Amino acid sequence: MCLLFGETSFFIQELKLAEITTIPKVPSHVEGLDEVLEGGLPLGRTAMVYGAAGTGKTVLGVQFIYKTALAGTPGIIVSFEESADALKQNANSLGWNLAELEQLNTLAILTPQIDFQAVVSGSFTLSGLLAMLQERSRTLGARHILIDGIDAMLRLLPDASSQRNELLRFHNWFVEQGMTAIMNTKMHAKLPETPEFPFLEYAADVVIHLSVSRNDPQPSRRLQVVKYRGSGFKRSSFPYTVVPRYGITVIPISMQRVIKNSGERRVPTGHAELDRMSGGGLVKGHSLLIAGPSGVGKTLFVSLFAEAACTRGEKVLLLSFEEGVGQIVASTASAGIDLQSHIDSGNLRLITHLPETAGLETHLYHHVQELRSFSPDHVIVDSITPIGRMADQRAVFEYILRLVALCRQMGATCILTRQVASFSLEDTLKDIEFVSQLDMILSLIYIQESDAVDRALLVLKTRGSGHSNRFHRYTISDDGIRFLPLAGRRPEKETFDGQPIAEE
Amino acid sequence: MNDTTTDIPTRDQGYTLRLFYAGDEPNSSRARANLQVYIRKRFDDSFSWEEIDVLETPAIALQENILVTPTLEIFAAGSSSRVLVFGSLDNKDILDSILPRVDDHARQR
Repeated sequence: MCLLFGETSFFIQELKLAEITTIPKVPSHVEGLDEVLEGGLPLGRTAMVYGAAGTGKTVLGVQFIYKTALAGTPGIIVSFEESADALKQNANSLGWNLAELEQLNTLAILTPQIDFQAVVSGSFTLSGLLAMLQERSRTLGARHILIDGIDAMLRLLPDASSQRNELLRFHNWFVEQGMTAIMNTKMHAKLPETPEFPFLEYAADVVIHLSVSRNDPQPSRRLQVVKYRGSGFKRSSFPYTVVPRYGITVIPISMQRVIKNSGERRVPTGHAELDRMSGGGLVKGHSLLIAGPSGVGKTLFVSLFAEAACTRGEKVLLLSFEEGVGQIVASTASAGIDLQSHIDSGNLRLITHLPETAGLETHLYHHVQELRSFSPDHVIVDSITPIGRMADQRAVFEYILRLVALCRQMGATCILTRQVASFSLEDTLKDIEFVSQLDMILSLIYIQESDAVDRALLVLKTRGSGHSNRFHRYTISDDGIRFLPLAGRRPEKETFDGQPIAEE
Repeated sequence: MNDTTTDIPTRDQGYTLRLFYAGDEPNSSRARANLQVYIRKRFDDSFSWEEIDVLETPAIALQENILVTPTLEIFAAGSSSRVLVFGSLDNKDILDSILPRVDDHARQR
């Protein structure tokens, strides 16, 4: 139900986008973020980024200053927490050379030292600091500024009202100067989901929240825009990752939906019987889930499909979270399927990542890059089960949602396999929140007979076309998959529009 | 630390005082007035101190890392470490306690 709701709100946002012409913006140089911010940061205004330690607040800010400085707009980094050397080293690890831009006079690093030994007698302001910023920005001609750790700056002040007043003064100065500013702050020690100084949220024109879930074996990072004064923005939270050279990369979901239904191209499944059962094979751009218990033949089905597609000269991207490339090639070869020659010809690309090696959003990022560079006709993930080991349901859902959406946008079929623990049919769909996103679901099950166990395939769902409603028994041998005739059963029923499917 | 002491101008009066202030901001004006009254009472007429307007000469604020105004910077003769007093200097007891403290510190060295 939640899903349906989510979809509606996407459309509402699209409508809003069309009506409102928003304020001038400057690209954030954070991949994917501009899509979320619908164009970028507000030009000459203040953005606030808050999040727990290790979420990448500094990276995001430095990324903006560095990349815009690289493009010729001077900017200042003011850091209260790190030394200039540490900042440069961290930037270097991402492939960004801050020192070079310092020499070119397009970037300056300011690290005001807070003297904690100082004695206080009477009232004071931060005019010294403001004078420092003014002086440095004047000599540099700065248009952008990052205040990294503004909470440290505010903590210098004795009470809430002077903190508010000083923040306002800095904010007003940014506005007067037409400076695009980013202020970073920590999370509140006690209040959940709240920045250290809650009034920062009111002062800023854009508020971005970075969070990290620490419950999973691989923490998943999420970015959410909390507010954007004078502009629309994408309201949901988005996974992000930190990649060398690119820095923070947000992975927004494509809002574009392929509406065209006419002229849809059918893709053979690699098995004539299965094509017939599924009402003519797969549709290009559609997604398919093959679910079933271990050993029932999921990998065999997708390997047959991959082989058939590559033989037709189509490109297949096979993503695996379990077995290595060699293992996959060898095990399918024993079933008479030749993947190696298709790898050699360049039609098949096999990518294996152990799920534990990175957060799911990092895997997603790499898979998206792979999709864009290889532009395959078909994408196969065999299987999605291991990613459940290291991420929560929601992260898995997002991974699949984004992969399926991108495939749909690119017109590639997307085939996912999923292992279910038991033999029961309900288990096939249990805990799969993304069912409504999928166009076709095949369930492979074991059927217990009195003296044997058979395998059977059931088409559970196909979007937009009819399909068989029967369990189709099949055997696995060296020749691959063979469907057994539907002997002595009641006539097959059509589940889509009541038209029976002709039996061969 | 010791080898930097030569960089610090030492005077017969025992202290080097610099007051960093911000134009005519109220607490800056008050600090200037308070400091003047305090020094007249405590030291003789020859005692001198420096006042620096960070709005006029922001480069000095940058160079000296002055974030807060008003800030009174105190160097004891022969000492390389500075003591900072933030604020309008309304409390004379604080200055009383700091100036001998800096004194002792210098003597110990």
